[in-house]
Amino acid sequence: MIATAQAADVRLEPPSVRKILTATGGALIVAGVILTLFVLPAEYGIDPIGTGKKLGLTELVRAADKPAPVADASISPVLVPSPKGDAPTVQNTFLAQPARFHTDSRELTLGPGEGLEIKYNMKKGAGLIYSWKASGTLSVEFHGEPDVKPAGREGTDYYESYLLDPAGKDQGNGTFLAPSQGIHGWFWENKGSAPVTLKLVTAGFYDWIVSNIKNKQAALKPMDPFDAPSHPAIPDQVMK
Amino acid sequence: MRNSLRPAVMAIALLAVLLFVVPAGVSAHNVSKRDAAFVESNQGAAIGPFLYLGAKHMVTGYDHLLFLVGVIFFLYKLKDVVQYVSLFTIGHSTTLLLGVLYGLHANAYIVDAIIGFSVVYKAFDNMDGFKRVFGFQPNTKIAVLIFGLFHGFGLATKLQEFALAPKGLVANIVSFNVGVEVGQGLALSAVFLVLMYWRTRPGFLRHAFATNTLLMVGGFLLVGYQLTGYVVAQ
Repeated sequence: MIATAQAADVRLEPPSVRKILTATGGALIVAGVILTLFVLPAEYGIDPIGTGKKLGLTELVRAADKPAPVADASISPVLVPSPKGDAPTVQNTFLAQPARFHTDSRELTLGPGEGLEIKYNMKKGAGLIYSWKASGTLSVEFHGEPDVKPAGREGTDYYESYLLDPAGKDQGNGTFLAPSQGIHGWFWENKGSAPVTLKLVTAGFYDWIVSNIKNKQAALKPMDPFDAPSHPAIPDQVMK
Repeated sequence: MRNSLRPAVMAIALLAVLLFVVPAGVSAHNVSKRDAAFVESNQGAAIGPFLYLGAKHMVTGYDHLLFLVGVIFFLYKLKDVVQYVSLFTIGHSTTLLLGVLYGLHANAYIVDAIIGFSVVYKAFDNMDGFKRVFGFQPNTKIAVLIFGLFHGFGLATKLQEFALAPKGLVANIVSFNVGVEVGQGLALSAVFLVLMYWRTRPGFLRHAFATNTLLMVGGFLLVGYQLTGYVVAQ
């Protein structure tokens, strides 16, 4: 009320109804024209009269649809001889990684029928070296949940499976490159009738860990480091 | 004539910058990708970063700014500005906090379209449209409060698109909210200064109507942009 009361006091003459309606209609038309000519082509690729294509605005949409360039997640070494005849160089032997290196070790016991999930938050292309060993057979699924779900699956618990072994095994070793930004890890289930103890050791470029047991986030205790795989032995001949 | 025009041209140029240039670099509600990565990887309370994100969001969120330009356009006294802005703040803080804490979801396009409509509404109000065309004046304070609720709901909906860690959630949302107020204060001070200067010029009243028409164009643009987004996303 204050706003308009004051405004009325200081205005030279109040605008006529006709003027207000003309301005409102004009604003609507101008906005519609700007939308049609520029905004819709640039934002959504909707280009009813072709201005987007002429001005190159539709390129903006296409650029956004393309996946962001990421480091080539494969290693293909190329040997380059030295022109001077000394040691040759080998290119493409490693993948640069984000500075979030961590190691993690866990020991957990799964009772009969119990399942457990352990996942690491990783960026696309980030690497993980893992080794797990169990005192019995566990069915296992190695999978990930990308932060960005595919169109139409937003807000669901969409995940992508990397390895599914319902028959089960008692160990797994490998290196893993995250195919997407998100959480990646394992689901183990004890389908046997006796408790199984699981030991997991990982090192990689992740920043945090989540665990899910019986649909509840569980607190994880780090493993006693002395139970973790030992340091490599030093070959005798080195000591000579 | 020349002298009285200059501030008007300046203000219109400022509006034009807000409307057409800024959108290329910022987005109305989207926290930028890098910031999103931070928000998502964050575990626990991070007061500083969330404060900054809130402030950044407000300073670069042109839809909120257009609405605030409309609200304070004809407010001459600092006391009135404080009063209206407080109502807006109460409105958007309420829905931001409750929205995120209780996980209330709304379609972001619809909320943003309503925010765009709030700009149109305020511009029409500034033209004296309600009194002249419809013969009655809706309570402007209640309108600011109600639109504040929608603006906050927009903030909450966008913030929830990220997987926010439950640890330190309240501290982070409060920090974000305080940041929003800091950013709003900064942006408002700038707008208020320009308006204050402009009002000392005789050109102000002559161009006030045109400026509000321009504001309305901006509002309609936002509505059309968001509603199209809604249709495309279906």
